[in-house]
This record gives sequence, C-alpha cells and structure tokens, in this order.
Amino acid sequence: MLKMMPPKTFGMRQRPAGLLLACILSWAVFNGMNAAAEALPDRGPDTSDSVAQAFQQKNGSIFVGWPKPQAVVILTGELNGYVEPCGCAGKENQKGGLSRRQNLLRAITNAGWPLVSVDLGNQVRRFGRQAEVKFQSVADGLRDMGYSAVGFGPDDLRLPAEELIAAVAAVGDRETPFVSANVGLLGLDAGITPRFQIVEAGGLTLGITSVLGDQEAKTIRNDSLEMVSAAEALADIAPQMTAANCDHQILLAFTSPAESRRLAEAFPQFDIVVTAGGGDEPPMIPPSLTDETGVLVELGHKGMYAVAVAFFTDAEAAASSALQPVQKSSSGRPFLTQRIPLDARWGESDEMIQLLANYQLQLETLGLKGLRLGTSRHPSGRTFAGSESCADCHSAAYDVWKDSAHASALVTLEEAVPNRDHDPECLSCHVVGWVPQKFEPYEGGFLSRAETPHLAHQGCENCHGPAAAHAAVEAGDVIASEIEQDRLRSELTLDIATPEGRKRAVNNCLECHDLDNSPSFDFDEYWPAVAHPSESR
Amino acid sequence: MRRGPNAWIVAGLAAVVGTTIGGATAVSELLLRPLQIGEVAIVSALPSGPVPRLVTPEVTFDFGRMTVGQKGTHEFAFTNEGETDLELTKGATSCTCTISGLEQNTIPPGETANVKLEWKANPGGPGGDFRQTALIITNDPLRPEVTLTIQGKAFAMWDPFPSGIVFSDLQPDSVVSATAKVITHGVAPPVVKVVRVSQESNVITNPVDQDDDEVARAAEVADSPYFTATSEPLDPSVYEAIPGATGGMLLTVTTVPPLPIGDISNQLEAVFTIPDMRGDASEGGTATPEPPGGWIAKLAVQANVVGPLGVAGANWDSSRDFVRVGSISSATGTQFKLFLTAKGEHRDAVKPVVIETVPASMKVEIGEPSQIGDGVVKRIPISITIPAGSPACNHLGSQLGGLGRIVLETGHPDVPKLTIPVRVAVGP
Repeated sequence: MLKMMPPKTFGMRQRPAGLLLACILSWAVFNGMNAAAEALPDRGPDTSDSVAQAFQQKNGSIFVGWPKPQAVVILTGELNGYVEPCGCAGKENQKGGLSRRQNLLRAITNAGWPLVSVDLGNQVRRFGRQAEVKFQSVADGLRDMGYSAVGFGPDDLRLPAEELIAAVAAVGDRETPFVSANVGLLGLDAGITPRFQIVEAGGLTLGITSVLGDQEAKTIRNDSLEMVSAAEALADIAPQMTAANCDHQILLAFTSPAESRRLAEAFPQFDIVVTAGGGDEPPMIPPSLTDETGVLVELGHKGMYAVAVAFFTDAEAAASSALQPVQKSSSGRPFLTQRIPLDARWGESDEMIQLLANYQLQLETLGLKGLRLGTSRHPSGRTFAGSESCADCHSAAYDVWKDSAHASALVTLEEAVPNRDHDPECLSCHVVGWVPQKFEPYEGGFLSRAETPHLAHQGCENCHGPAAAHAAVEAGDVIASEIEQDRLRSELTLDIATPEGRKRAVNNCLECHDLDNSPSFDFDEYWPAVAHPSESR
Repeated sequence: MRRGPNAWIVAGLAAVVGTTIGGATAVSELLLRPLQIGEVAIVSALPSGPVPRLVTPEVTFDFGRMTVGQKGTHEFAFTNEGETDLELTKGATSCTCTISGLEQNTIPPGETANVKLEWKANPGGPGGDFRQTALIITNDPLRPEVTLTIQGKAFAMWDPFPSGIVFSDLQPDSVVSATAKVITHGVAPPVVKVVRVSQESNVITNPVDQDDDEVARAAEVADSPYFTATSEPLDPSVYEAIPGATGGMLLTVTTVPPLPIGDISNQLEAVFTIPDMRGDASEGGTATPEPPGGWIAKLAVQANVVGPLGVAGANWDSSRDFVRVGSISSATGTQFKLFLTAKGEHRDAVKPVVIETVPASMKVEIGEPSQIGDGVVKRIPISITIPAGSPACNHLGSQLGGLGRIVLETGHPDVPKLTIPVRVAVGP
C-alpha cells in the first residue's frame, strides 16, 4: 500500500545545515567561477571585448597563461617627450602615452597583482621652457600613478637645476620617487633625491637604484649637479642595499646595453638591470644577465612599451601555464617577463587626460613669448604673405588646397581634446612659417589666430617658400623690373617633374610627414590628394 | 530516528560541488566565446582531433650593419608539421616594417611557406640600433601568435654624440667648454674645411638627404657672438671600437662672455669632405654621393644663462618667481626647505643674513654653506618655519594682501639684497 508521506522538511536541527549548504554552495560557485575565469590584466578597465581582441590580434596578446604572480614590476622609460600619441596618423595606430600607461597600472592593480612601478628616466628630449613645463607635468603624472622609483636621463639633467628640483623634490610628507646613486641635484649630500629606494610588494622587498652612465654624464654641462662615476657610486651604496636584506635588487642604468651589462657583471647583486639605448622596440624576451640568471631589460624608445617582470613562488605552475620560458633570479626565484604594447586596448585615463589638458593650458598661458621661443630668418630671407594671397592668380591650385586637409590643419588642433593649438610641437606643422623640426617660428611666421590669421593652417608657402615680395609685385603694390619679377616667380616654383624638384618637395614633406607623425607617408601615394596645376591665371 | 546530514560533510560537499560547477561554468563560457588569444583556458582545453603545428627555425634575424636608407629583406620559413591546414594572418608590423610573401595564407600539412619582412633602415633619420617586429596570427592552438623580429644597426654618413651641446645654468661671465664627437662612416677619416657656430639655428640636417646647396646657404648666416668652435681629428682609439666607423672629429665649443641672461640657441656646423667619396656609393660607404660643397654636420648649441644667485626647492615656482606655500592652518603651521645657490667669482662672498620676513611669524634659518661638486656653485640651505599658533594673515598676492617675503642681505657685491616672494595665507 502506498502510503502518502508529507513533504520532507528539515526540522529545527536540520535547518542550519540546509542554510549552510546553500551559503557554501553559493560561495563556492562564485569562487570557483572566479578562480577559473580570473581576469588577466590585459586591457583597460573600460575596454570592450571587441577592442581588446582587435589590438591583441594587431600587436600581440599579453600575459598569456600567467598565473597570479607574487609581485610584478612594471618598467617604463625613455619617454623622450612623447607624453601622448599625437593622433596625426590616427591615435589608434600609435602606441605610447601616459594615459594608457596609467590604465595598464590600474588593470594590474584591479587584477590583484601586487605592483611596483619603476621608470628609467629621460622624460623629455629637448631644452627650453616647454621641456621644463613638460618635465614638471610628467613628474606630477608619475607621482599620481604611484611610481616607486624614477631615474634620470641625460635630457632631464640638462634642464636648469631649479626646474628639476621644483619638479622632483619631496613635497610635505610625500616622498619623492626620483632616485639616483651618482647624480645629486645641488650635490649628492643635499638630500633632494635618495640614492636608492626600498619598496615592498606581495611580501617581497625590492631595492632600486639608478645611475647615469659615464659617457652620458660627459655630455652634461651643469655645475649645479654633482656627478660621480656609476661604478664608484654603486660601490658606495651596494653594501647599504645589501644590508637592507632585499629579496631582489633593481638597477636602472641610463647607458648603453653594453655598459649596463658591464655594470651588472661588476655588481651581480642586481637581478634586474634596466638599460637605455638598444632598438626602437624592446625584444620579445629580454636576455639573461649572467649564468642564465637575472635579466637585462630594454624598453624601446618613446615610451611605446612597458615591460613587466613578475615573480612567482612556484616555477612549475608558471611553466605549465605560460607559453614562454620561465627565467630565474640569482636567488633562484622564478620570473616571467612580458613586453606590453601601450596601444588602444588600454583606453584612456581621465586623470592623465586632465594632466595633459593642464599642460596644454600652461603652454597657452605662457604663450610663445613665455615659452622663450627663438625665431630664425627663413633661409630665403623672404617673408610670408598667407595662402589667400595666392588665390587670385593661382585659383585652380588654391581650390585644390582649399579642399584638402591642409587647409584646416589648425582646426584639428583647436578641436582636439584637449586642444593643442598653443603647443609649439603641434603648431609647427599646422600653420605657415614655422621650422617644423625645431618647433619655432620663422621671423614673420604664424603667431596666433588674432595676430596672424592669414598664416593659419598648412598653407602654400610651406612648400613653395615665403611669397610676400612676389605677391606685392604681382599686385602692383611694389614696382619691380621684369627681371626681378621673373626671379621672384621662379624662386617659388617647385617642379616635381625634375629630379631636383622632386627631391626638394619630398624632403619638404618629410619635415612634417615624419616617422612619428606620418609613418606610412609615401610621396607618390599622398601626392594625388593635393596635386594641383602649375599654371597661374 | 534518522539524523539530518552532518554540517561539516554538507559544507565539504558543497565546497567541492560548488567549485566544480563554478569552474566548469567558467570554462564552458570561455570555450563558447570566440578565440581569445592567450587565455590559459584555451591552452588547457586543446581539441583532441588533428591540429596544425607550426615550426619556425628562427623568429629573429640580425641584419648587422646597414646604411641609413638602405632596404633590407629577410624570409622566415613557416613549416606545418601538423595534420590539418595551417592558416596564417597578418597582424600589425612596426611603423616602417612590411610583411610580404604571405600570398599563401594556408600551408598544407608537411609543406613550408616563407614570410618576407622588408625594412628600410631609418629613412630620413639618424643612425643607431633598430629593432622592428611583425605579428603573424595562426590557427596552431599552441602558437596562436608568432612575433618576427628584425634588428641591427643603421649608420648615417655621420653620427653625432651627443646630438647637441647644452650649457645649463651659466653665468654671464662664464668661460666654459663642451665637446661633441662626430663619427663618420666613409672610406677614410674626414677632412674638416670649416667649423664654427652660426648665429641662428636651422633644422638639423638629415645627413642622407642633404641638399646640394646646404653648405652655401648655411654660410650666409653670421657667426654667433656667444660661442667659438674648434675641431680636431678624433683619436682612432675612440672610433675604432665602433663597428663601421672610419673616422671622426672632436668638436669643442667655448662660450664667449658677456652672455645675455636667458636662453641662447645657436648651431654648430662642421663642413667636411671624405677623400675619394665624391660620387662613390660603394659598399661600406654611403649610399648617397658627397654634395658639391661637402658634408655639413649640424648640432644645436643651447645655453641657459642665469644670475649669480638662485633659489631652488620643491616650493619654488620658477614660472612666477615666488615660494608657493598656499593656505595653511594656524593650528598646525608648516615648515619647508629652500636652497640659495651662489655662482660666479663672488660666490664665496655670499653670506646671507635675514633682515625681514613677512609674515613676521615666519622663521627663517640660514644653514651652513657647502660646495657642489668641484666648487663652482655654492649651496646654502634655508629652513623656513611658520609655527603653529601664528596669527592669521593673507599674503596670497590677491587684492586682500600682497605676497609675503623673505629679505636677505647677501654679501654679494652685485646683488647685495635679495627678496624672495612668498605666497602664503594663515587661517584658523
């Protein structure tokens, strides 16, 4: 006989076990999913799957199969003034920039990887007021990003000492991340920057110092700095760093790879030696230092890449998961390295964009006069008239120009976010009458929309030469002989049908369409977009 | 009477089951998504059937020495040792590197195809080390990406080291020198015809694309009144260690006082010829014939000239020439440090004495002077304290109150009194 049974319920004694089962089951499902699908820090915080995947397939995947490291050191350097991709060739086609860098660091932190950020130095590459302002901005940015140690490059140290000190010195309770064993601002004993730093991450203690190479030091003529040889300085501080019982020691050596290797051999206590120089890009896998241990890290140029060195507790786990060889420190601790392209997969960081906007605002506030830009005479000795002066006689050519991107070049700077129409490094190729590669105006070149509106945009005279005298003669404002009139006309003729004319034209284009701003420039491909008839009305 | 399940057994069982379910869910989600290159889950869940298997004998090629502008190519062999077709797709390349020879995107099992990388060594740029990469995407589950690397060293006709000369923090009466080396890569050491510093600067000439009339144009510009230049042949021991270098010159630039306070930007020029190089583009030399007037090496010469006394410190705002303290609380006060630097022939006479501070509560202590490096600059620390309990004041430089100040008697004959403006306000 089938007996009806009431639905089974847990009694008072059974109820806690049921609740426990439900809670633990939920917790375990949650944790199980997290453990299996823990996000790798392979993209910016707000980057979509499609964007991340597109740039993985374009510039390579990163952290493939890495387990969570005990600690990761992110190495950057040789920014050389490239605080952001300029966008001339499409920002998505360019690598580098502080904004993407911050998002990389943020992604690593969000993934729960204990992080130490270190920069080799050489934030700028030029000399003058703009470089000083830029250095200050980058130094602020590095502090905001939480850098633990930052070295000096030779271009940094050519800036006036008072500017350097204002940018790098400790402010209140906030210690400076800048460090140098052999360069002392106002003296090694002035205490403005420490000679080494000790930091901790993931239970590891890291000692970090930096040196400027002896050859590089010889190129600096600045009496407000005290410099000693790199080897002498390292011999001085090495015992102190060893006494700090660091698990690993990092040397930032701003010198050639060969000289960095020599320093590493002389001071084998350094597991990670970061060197300047080398190729445009870092190698895929950096070489070992000695005895197949340690690592010599190249960073490439212009801050387009970062390099990660991550320490692990378990060599086998790292080896079984990652698709790359596991390297070892001198103490035997396993580590993996990763070359990280700073491309659009990282997105933009609001804080760094704001920092760059403030930098642009400073340039605007200082103005060309405040930036102490020099002016030079145009090699021809002539002055500029503006593209509108060409329109009456060369109407067909003018119409082609008017419809080209050249005719709105300044607008692209004005409408950029942040706007860059007060930045000499941008203006020089977006207006008439500047020396493109020196970022300075010629005498009589563009100054501002208000003062020289006729010289806005990339105009006719940047290729043909200054035409004020020619325009004045043709307009009858100045009386000239027929011979003189012909001479002025011929001086502005650019005939690309001749080898000499073509070479002159191509070289002229390359002043702006250079590797940084127009890497795929090819004269024959680009010329049809601006090809214009030579005859005048 | 039946007992309910043991709580510990339930907990353990739940943890195991839950973790398994969670892990399986996550893995299944990963497998259902499009291939995300590099995810460990893909590697651990390889298909069990036949797969392609890529074998490459090399992924890095060193070109060694190249002339700037010279084109180099190298073919990398891709062999499929798997059992199904190997599919190759171009990823990105570095800015000046191009992939060709990838017409055959599918490599059948057992066959080999070549991927050719082409590169033009630093066209329009200086010499130096180069490294360029190209990414190839494959359907080999164990090698979803292959990065090909080409590297080497490009040589221009001449390479400067450093690329310019900068004199920082000079005095108007400074007479100092600095040197730069120019390494040449012709068939013999250079013969220098002219070396000078011109008054105005132009673009640093690309040594490959130098115009024929570049030398004549440069000669039209007047000499700099602030610098002189000399040249001497570089000792062979200096350049012999540099691969491909065949000569060089040591250029020395010396300042000529009086120098104006501010920035100076001029240009060092060395016009030189290299024997037997006119029109010669033989291997080991330059790809471009020597211009009619000779080669012209141009280096920027820049200087920053300052007065005999300077102020430095984290709080010093050099753009506006004041000490930036801002608003502070009287309850806590503040303290910070500045440095006074003294340069020039009277530096040892500088012995600052405080004669006034505004606000009056600001305490200024002059420390012991010391020399920096070889003693050309003297450093004097200044400790500044606005103690807790200081009366409220506004010296922010607004309409409510002018800037505060520290006034020093310096002892310097040319600058006997120095006023250091201080932007500060003390509130409750």
